[in-house]
Amino acid sequence: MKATHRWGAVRGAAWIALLPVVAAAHVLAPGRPLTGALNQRILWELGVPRLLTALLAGAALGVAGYVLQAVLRNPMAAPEFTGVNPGAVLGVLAALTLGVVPADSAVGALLAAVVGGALGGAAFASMRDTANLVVYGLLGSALLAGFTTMLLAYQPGRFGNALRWLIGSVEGRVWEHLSVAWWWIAGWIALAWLSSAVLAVLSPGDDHAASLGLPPVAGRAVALTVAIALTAGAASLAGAIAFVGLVVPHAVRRLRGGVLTATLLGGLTLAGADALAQFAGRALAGTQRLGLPTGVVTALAGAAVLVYIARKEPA
Amino acid sequence: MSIAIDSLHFSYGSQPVLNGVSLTVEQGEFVALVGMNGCGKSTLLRLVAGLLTPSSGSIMLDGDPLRSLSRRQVARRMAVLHQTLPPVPGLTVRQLVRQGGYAHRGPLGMLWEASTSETDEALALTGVAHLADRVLDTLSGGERQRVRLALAVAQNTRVLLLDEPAAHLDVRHQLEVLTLVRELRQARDLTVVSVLHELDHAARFAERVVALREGVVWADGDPREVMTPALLAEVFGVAGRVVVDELHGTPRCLPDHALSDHSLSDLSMGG
Amino acid sequence: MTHARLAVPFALVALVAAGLCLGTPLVSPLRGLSELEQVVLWELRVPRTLVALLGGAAIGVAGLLLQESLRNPLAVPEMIGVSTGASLAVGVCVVWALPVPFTLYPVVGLAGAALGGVVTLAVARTGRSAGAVLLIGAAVSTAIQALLLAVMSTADRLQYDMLFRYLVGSLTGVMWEQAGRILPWFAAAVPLVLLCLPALGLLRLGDEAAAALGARANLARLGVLAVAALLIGSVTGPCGPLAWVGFVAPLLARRLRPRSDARGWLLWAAALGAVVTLAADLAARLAFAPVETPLGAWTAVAGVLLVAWRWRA
Repeated sequence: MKATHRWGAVRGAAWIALLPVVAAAHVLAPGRPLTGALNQRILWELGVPRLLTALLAGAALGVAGYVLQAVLRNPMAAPEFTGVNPGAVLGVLAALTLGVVPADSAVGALLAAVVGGALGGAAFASMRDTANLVVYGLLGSALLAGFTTMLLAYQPGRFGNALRWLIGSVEGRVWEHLSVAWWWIAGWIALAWLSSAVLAVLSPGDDHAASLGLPPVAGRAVALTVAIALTAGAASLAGAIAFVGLVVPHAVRRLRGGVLTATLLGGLTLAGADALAQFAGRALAGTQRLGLPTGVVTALAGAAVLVYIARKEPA
Repeated sequence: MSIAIDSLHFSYGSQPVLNGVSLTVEQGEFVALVGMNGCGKSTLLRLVAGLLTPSSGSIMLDGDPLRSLSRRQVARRMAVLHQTLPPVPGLTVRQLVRQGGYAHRGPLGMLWEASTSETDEALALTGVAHLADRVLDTLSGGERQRVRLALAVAQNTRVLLLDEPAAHLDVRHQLEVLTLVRELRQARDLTVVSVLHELDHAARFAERVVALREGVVWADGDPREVMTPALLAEVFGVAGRVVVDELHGTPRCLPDHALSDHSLSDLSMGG
Repeated sequence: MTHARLAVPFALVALVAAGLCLGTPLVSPLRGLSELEQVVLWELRVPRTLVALLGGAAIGVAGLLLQESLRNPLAVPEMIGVSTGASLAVGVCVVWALPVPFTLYPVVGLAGAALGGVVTLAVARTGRSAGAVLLIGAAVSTAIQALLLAVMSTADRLQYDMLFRYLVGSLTGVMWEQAGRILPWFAAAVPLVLLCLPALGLLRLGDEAAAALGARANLARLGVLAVAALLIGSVTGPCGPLAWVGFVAPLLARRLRPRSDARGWLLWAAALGAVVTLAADLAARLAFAPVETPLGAWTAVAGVLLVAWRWRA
């Protein structure tokens, strides 16, 4: 047993050591030199907030997916498939397009995301079956796109801007956006960590939880609130990022980790994907365009993972 | 710890399942619940565990109404072994058994220690210490059942409720698990209430057999007195003989053939 | 249910009539037509109504084929990469300014649809069960969608407007030329659909039972999927994705004839698909006239209402 603990510590240290590596890749990805006052200013005002946004949104999605998969007992219960993420993005888009909140208000976007995410999550909370959950989730995303186009019928000029939310991107986030989201996400992750035992007791089943002394309804309410709040936080920062909330919990389970592992892996995954997106965008489009949206990289990776999972499904 | 059940009624929708069950289980007893499929024995167990709410009637734990106790208070007094545990990918034996401490420590108390002395003791007591770091899904049926008993032991309660603990096991593992239950009961001075499918198991391991039919207690007592051909006919709908197993001194049932529905309803009128 | 069953043909006739008569100019069957009205009726409204009728029916049938062969009421045309393939092909043409004449975009869409379908079928061959095939279809669809969004993220304002109808589906500007492009495909598809029916009867029993009865379940499923892709592609090419019609129509057909099978549902799914599409196109044309709203938005509304209703039931 002692040995297990020591291995856990070693592995944890290894993962933390990855953090500076990913951060360095992310900073170097745009291919801009790091010297010169202007370049350093750009790095500080754009590059660093972008990296932090990716880490923060990724951590939030990783933990949200971990929580959802545990309480819904479904390996496919990722934020993007349970209606929470599409709902949150729709909330943000509706608020921005209808002018309920100013376009760049961090608090307003967050509130809209929470409302939308809660509505979306409520619609999907009863799903249990793996294949159906995914399909409902994709229908939800299709619906999201449909409603978005309807909203945009009012203001066609905003289409490009809205696209950014639909794809999911951490580009263009500055310090101001992070100010609120930071406290929000850190707070809810802390709560998720404090409820680790609730999640563990809940995951084998309602009867199991009840026999061990946890009222399942109350436990699930806490967990779902945490998941929705975290997803909304991520959506208000980065829009509809797929895949992180699906694959990070799988990795966490393999590593026998918990909420903290999900936080770290989620942040690393999204920051890594964003670095990749910047590299690829630079390679594909030269310097003319601003680069591939992060969401495209994560969505493609997500599709590959789905195919992998489907192929492993027994006949 | 004693369990007092008084005129308990329960129905699933409009389908009545229990029609006034009254039963008192004293501290330290080993009670077997028997009856045909659908007679309400598992429902009764779930009601006693507080996992279902009765339509009327009461259940008292040591004089406290079950309804007035919180989930955690109930879980500190009673552990339940359900028929199946839904699969949780990647869950290890130690992770599962450790959860037995939840009722005592609460969500925050569980944060700090990866493994507790209760966990280790429970693993040792049920003979699965060597499996502690295995993933649950990779275990055999018999091993899994032992692990689930370890979870119940780790819960450190005075009452153990079992729903067909030997179901889906081969004959050797059936005996192993039931023997383990008997040993645990002696080691921990437990009150055991168990739904048992096999009448021979009930006669061999329990000190008291409670037979349910049509949602009421049809027969209740020492297996040597209760297990009769009449009981076989009335409660299980079979004609058969009951002999005495000379080695253990317990009755053994030898069912011969199923009774027709017609003769069953005659029995019902007579009973 | 008998009343509802009678209502379907009536609704179909009424919607066709409304589609031909309503709008500006208002055409009345009771009086003679002016020259302008004749042109509008024959050159615009007849082909558009015809395409709505046939396209809706085709998507409805395709939805039925998918749902039955994958044994899942949620298997919808959006899920096999065909409609997204069409959108992606057109999106690439518009945004990268490829030298393709505007009038050939429907053909490009058709090619994209075919390509998307082929990719999905190729990957789906590796799935061993209905559930796995469904997941794979969803995955390929998502991937194509992501590529589409990537392409679109480099587009400018004007290009968005051109792409709009390929993203939401619309029958705006459908004339005889487009209609003529769809019709041969439908003619080819009808016998193929009929050929699928026996396979659907077997697949419905589950792969194991189908195999025991002598069918190669995976092969049969792929065949059915290919026919569905043909139907969807031929509509999506010129019109864009008619979202949710393939979900709504078979679902309602099952409600109307609860104890039937694919054979019995086929015509109902076709009729209901046509009804939904005609109604949605009418709403798209008239609701905010003179501005035309996207048809796909209206079918999406119908789909959502139905999902909400189904949830309660």
